[in-house]
Amino acid sequence: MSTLTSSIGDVDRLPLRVEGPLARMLGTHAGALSVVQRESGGLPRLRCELQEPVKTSISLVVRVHALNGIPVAYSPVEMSQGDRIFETHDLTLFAMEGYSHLPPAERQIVERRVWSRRAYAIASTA
Amino acid sequence: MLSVVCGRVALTRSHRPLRTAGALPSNVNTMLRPLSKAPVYFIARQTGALRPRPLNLTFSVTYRCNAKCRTCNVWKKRVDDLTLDEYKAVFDDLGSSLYWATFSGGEPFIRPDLIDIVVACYDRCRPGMITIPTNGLFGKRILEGVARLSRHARDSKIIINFSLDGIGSRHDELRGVPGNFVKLRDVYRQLKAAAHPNVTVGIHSVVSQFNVKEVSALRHYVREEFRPDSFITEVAEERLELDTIGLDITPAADDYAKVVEDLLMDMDTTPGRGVATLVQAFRRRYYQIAHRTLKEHRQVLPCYAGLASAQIAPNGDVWTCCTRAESMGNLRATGFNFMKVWTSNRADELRRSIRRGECFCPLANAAYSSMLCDPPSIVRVGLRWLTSQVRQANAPVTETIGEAAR
Repeated sequence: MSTLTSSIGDVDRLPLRVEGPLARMLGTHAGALSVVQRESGGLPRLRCELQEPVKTSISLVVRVHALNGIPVAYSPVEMSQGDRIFETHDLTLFAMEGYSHLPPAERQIVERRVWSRRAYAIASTA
Repeated sequence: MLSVVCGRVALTRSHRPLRTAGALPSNVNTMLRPLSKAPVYFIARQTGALRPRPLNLTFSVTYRCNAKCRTCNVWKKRVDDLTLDEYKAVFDDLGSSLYWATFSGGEPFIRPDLIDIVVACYDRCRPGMITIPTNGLFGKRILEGVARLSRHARDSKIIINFSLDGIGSRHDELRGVPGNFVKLRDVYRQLKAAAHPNVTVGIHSVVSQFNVKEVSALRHYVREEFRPDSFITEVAEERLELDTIGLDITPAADDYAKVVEDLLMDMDTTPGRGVATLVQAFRRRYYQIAHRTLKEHRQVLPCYAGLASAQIAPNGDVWTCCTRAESMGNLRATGFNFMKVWTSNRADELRRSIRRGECFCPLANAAYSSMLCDPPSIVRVGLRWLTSQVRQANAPVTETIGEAAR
C-alpha cells in the first residue's frame, strides 16, 4: 500500500484514513496529515502531500476525530486535476454554534481545549 | 444470607401480591410495545435502505441552566430556542411514531412553558413514556407542572429524574450551586408525597472522575434517605453537546468497574417484581455495556442512534445523539418537516458512520433504544427476566419471611 507523505518535517502529525471510493482516487488508504499552526492562534491547517497527482477533480471532506471516534472538526477540500497537495483552510469545530456570543479570544480557549482531543482524521468524498 | 433476606424485606413493603411467572403485567406489555418495531430498525440498520421514524426522541428545550456543574458547560451556550408554536409544528409532523420522549436541557424547567411543550407533545404524539430530568431548583414550577402533566397525560408514564451527584454540600460543590442539595431534597420529598399515579420519581447520578469513589456511599444514602422509584447512574462523558470535550471528566474504567459491581450486587440483593425486573434486566445489561465500552474503546453494543433514537437541539438541529451533536439538518430550515431532515443525504452519511462503529460511547438514552433493537441483547435481557420470574414464583417462602418480618 502506498502512503501519504508530508513536506513539512517538524510539525504535529495526525493519522489519516481514506474511505473506499476516495482511496482509489487518491491512490492510498492511510497516511498522515501535517498539522500546520497558524500565527493567529486559530485552528491549524491540515496538509497532505500525495505520491501521485490526482487524475480528476475531487471534492472531499476531512473530519478530525477524538479518540472515542467523535468527529470534533471538519473541513471541505477541493482538489483539481493534477493537484498533488491538499490543505484544509477552513477547519471548523462541530457544535460551536452556541458560542457565537463569545469574543474571539474566549472562543479560542474553547477551540484549543476541543482541538486537544484530536486523535485521527478521516477523508471522504463530499 | 441475612442481607439478602433483609433486602427482600425492604423491597416487599410496596409490593403487590405474588405473581405467577406466566402472566405479563400490563405495564410490561406497555414496555414491550416498542419491541414490535425492533425488527424494522434492525433491518434498517443492516441494509441502510429504510429510515423509520425514531421511537425515542430527546428534545433539548434550552441550553440555559441555573447550575454550573463541573461535568457540564452547556450553561455557557446560547442559541435561539424553538418556541412553543414551533414545537407544536414539530410534534404535528412526528405524529404517533414516538414511544419515548425526553425533555432535557440545560435545565428544562427554566422554561416557564416547559409543561405546555410536553402537553403539546402528548396531545399530538401520545408517547408511552415521558422523561424529564431536573436539578430540582425550580421547586414550585416543578411541583405544579408535574401535577398538571400527570392529570393531562394520563396514558403516559411520566418519569421525573432528580440529578444528585453527591451528599449534602458535596452535591452543591459538584453542581456549583450553594444550597442545591437541600432544595432538591425538599422538592423531591414533596413530589413523592404527591403520589401522582402515573409519575415515577427517580434519582439520577452522574458518575465522573470527581465522584466515582463516592458513588457507593451515595448509593446507600439514596436508598435509605430518598427511597426513589428508580436510581440510575450515567457515566460523565466527553460530549459535544455539553462542551465537555477535553475536560477529563470521565472516570477511569477500573474505577467505574467497581461502581458497576456494586450496582449489580444491589440488583441481585434487591430484585424487583413485575415490570421492575424487566427494567432491572435492561439496566444490568446497560451497566455491563457501559463498562465494556470504557474499557475496550469500541462500540460494544451496535448503536441505533440516528435510527431508533435521536435528539433535537434547542435551535432545531436534528442530531443522531448528543455525544456527536452533528446536525443532520435544521427543522426551521425545512419548515419543521422532520422526515425531510431524517431522510437527507447527511443523515444517511451519519448513520453509515455510526454503523461502521467509528464512534463509541456509553450514552444511556441511546443505549436503551439500541438494546431494544439488538437481538442478542433482547435474548439476554429476556432470559434474565424469565429466570427472575421463575425464581420468584418458586420462592414463596422467602416472601413469607419478608412479609412476616414486616
